[in-house]
Amino acid sequence: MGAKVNGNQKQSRGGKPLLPDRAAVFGGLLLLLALGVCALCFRQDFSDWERRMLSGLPETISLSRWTFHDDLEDELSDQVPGRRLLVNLYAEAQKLTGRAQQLDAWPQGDDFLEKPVTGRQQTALRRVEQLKALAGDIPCHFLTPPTHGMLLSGQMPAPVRQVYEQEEELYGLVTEDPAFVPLRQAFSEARTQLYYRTDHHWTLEGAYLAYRAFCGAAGQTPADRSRFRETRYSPFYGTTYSRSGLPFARADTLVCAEPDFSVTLTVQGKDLRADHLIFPEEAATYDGYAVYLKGNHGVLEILSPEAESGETLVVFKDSYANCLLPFLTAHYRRIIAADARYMEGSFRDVLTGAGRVDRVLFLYSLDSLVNDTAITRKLR
Amino acid sequence: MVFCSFTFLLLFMPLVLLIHRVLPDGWKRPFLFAASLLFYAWGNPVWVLLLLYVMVLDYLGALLFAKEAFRKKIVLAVLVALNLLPLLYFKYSAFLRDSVYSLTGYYLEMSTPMLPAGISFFTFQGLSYLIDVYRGKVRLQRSFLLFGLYLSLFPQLVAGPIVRYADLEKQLLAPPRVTDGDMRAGLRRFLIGLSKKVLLADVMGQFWGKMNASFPSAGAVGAWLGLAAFSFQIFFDFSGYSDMALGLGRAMGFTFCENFDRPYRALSLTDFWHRWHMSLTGWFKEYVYIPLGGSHVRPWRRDVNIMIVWALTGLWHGAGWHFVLWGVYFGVLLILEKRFVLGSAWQERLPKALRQGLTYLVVLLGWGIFSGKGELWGALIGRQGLCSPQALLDCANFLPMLVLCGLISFLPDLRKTPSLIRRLAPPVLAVLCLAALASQGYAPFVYFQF
Repeated sequence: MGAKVNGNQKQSRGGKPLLPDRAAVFGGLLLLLALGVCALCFRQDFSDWERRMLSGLPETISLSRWTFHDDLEDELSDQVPGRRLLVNLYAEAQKLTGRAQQLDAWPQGDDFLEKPVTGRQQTALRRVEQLKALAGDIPCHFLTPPTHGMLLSGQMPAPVRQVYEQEEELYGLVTEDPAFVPLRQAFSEARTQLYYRTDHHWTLEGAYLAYRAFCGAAGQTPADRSRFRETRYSPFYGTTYSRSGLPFARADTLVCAEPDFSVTLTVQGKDLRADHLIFPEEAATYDGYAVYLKGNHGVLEILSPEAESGETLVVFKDSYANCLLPFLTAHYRRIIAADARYMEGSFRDVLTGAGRVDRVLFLYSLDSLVNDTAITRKLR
Repeated sequence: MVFCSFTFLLLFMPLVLLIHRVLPDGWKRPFLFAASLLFYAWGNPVWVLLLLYVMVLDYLGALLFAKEAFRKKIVLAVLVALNLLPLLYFKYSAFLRDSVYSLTGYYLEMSTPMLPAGISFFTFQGLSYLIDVYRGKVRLQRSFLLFGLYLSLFPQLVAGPIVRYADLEKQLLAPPRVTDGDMRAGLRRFLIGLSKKVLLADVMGQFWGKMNASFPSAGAVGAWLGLAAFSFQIFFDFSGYSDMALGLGRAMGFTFCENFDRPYRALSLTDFWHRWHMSLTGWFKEYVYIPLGGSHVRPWRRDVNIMIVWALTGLWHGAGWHFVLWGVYFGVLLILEKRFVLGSAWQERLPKALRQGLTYLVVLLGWGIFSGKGELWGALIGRQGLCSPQALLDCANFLPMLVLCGLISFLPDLRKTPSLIRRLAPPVLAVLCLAALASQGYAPFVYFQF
């Protein structure tokens, strides 16, 4: 009786429902169940658009260490059908309700920006001193570009701009040391696209600008762009776009430069040896940026017999260097590049193993320089 | 298991509701009992033993009342103590140990036990049954299955409402037939609760979490807006859970008592506590306040009774002195309100909006005590400035949702919305909830820790 009264009240308040009760109830419950069953039965191991491994159920279940409920939840959450659509929808809803800066990457016009770098300035300065001490008497330079957000901050609303101004302040303090190649002004004045819209990396233009500044600091004449073959890969959707979760973006075109003279790439500890620095087949994979050097590696060596000098350059780097290294092959017969995140041993081992080293370049993004603890570990 | 987990939403709930719907009446209650035990065991299978302990204890204890003509009071006291023992151990032992240490310097070496979900809720339900049987207010339940189902019924097992046996007795004995209309209305209520939790409470929780993490640099603006967000988080979280519980109950043919009645529209603190967590305040009134003499005693004695009830209410919410302080804060203010404010001519003259705003402000400061964040108070009075750039950005980001939560909390009944919106809302909300859960997972319910 009570149910009937409630049902009538419902109808008088809400008008005629879109579906009859039975269809709505059973349809809804069966749909939910179907989603759950599909999530368990049709699973994927890897999510291309998120660039991560997806969760799966454990092979054994232990009552004494009960985590099955969490494992099943992770599995269902990762494998639910239409997950990308749902994530896109929620990210769009967040943006529409004013929470654009709560996404993992911040939309700004057509661009997707990394969150402003925060961290302890003292830690970064100490790291810089340690890196300089590592180089010892070998001439060394630091290349740390201003971030994409810093360059665009003038176009942002006040609360967002103020946060990037803090980042700018940190950048200024960290790069005060004369060993840093000055890039801030050149990057501000440039009229070309220095960063990809959908990725945190700089474009070929940005890398070339930094390369020219480095050459200036090292007393070298920059090689002309005509000495490098340029190839284009489109569409390219980078990591900041995928991290934002947002559905729509203007695609980028990945532009790569490869020396028009002979080079040899060897990656230590991997079966990778090539006479080219660009790997076009990687453009079609989930990580298109891996066209450069086939992605990130611990330690790699590039031999460039036609370089203008017989010198050896050691580069301690993050992924920003991948786009710039091809330009350096015009100057150094031997380039050894080490990435703290993937390498075995220490930085000191790399320097010692390199034999005679003529110059050292530390090429890190501001975030790596301030926050990457792998660098500190490799300095020990 | 948590209502807003995918495990519940995509597997447990549809399976249980569909099976329950098609089962013959005679099978429904055993099925629900088994499903409820599975629901509770899911988080930690060992804890189901604790639930069974309370179940067996209260079931047998009540049978003793029927046999034991004398010394009923002593039996009741022993049973109450045995009921409270697990609660004392799991919830309060670490608090007692730390309090003794800070008072005397003596530290008892013991590990801090994990708090089983819902222990405060099912313990209080069991006690209400025992006391009501002792008082002769309800009949003895001789079926272990039905009593077990009363205590473990999964919609209200881990975070209430605290359903008294008297309210559920008839429904347990003769479960009403469930119609498709009931199921639909129940699922709609569940969806409203899920939306409150996932789309409002969790978002407010994120904001409050950010402000918390950035004290003291959050500044005065961040502290006030953060505290307001906390007040909405705790409201939408808990009332959302209650909506889900009531909705699930209705979808299976049970009607539970309401737990919230738009509390931030209250015009006084007394009014607020008639609207907030009504099943708990009702429980304390029935089993503590009235036995102490209630209002039918001298004024000073009534005030003492109020203070006892509110100190216990604070302690029920958590094992920490700030919870006790929170209870005492409301106890003192309620006494003052009863003596000097309620019914006074000047109070009647105040505009309703002002009374509502003042009540909310007092409640808001109460949530500040409840949060246990010492740095909050300095930030509230601007000791660390107005706002850091990062906190300002977070405030700007969350302001639209904060305003939305305020509108829903303070404005008159939104159920009078146009019918088209009402009809379209359920599928839209369902998709948005799934999107939020797929995107960032679920946050545990705040009241689970109680």
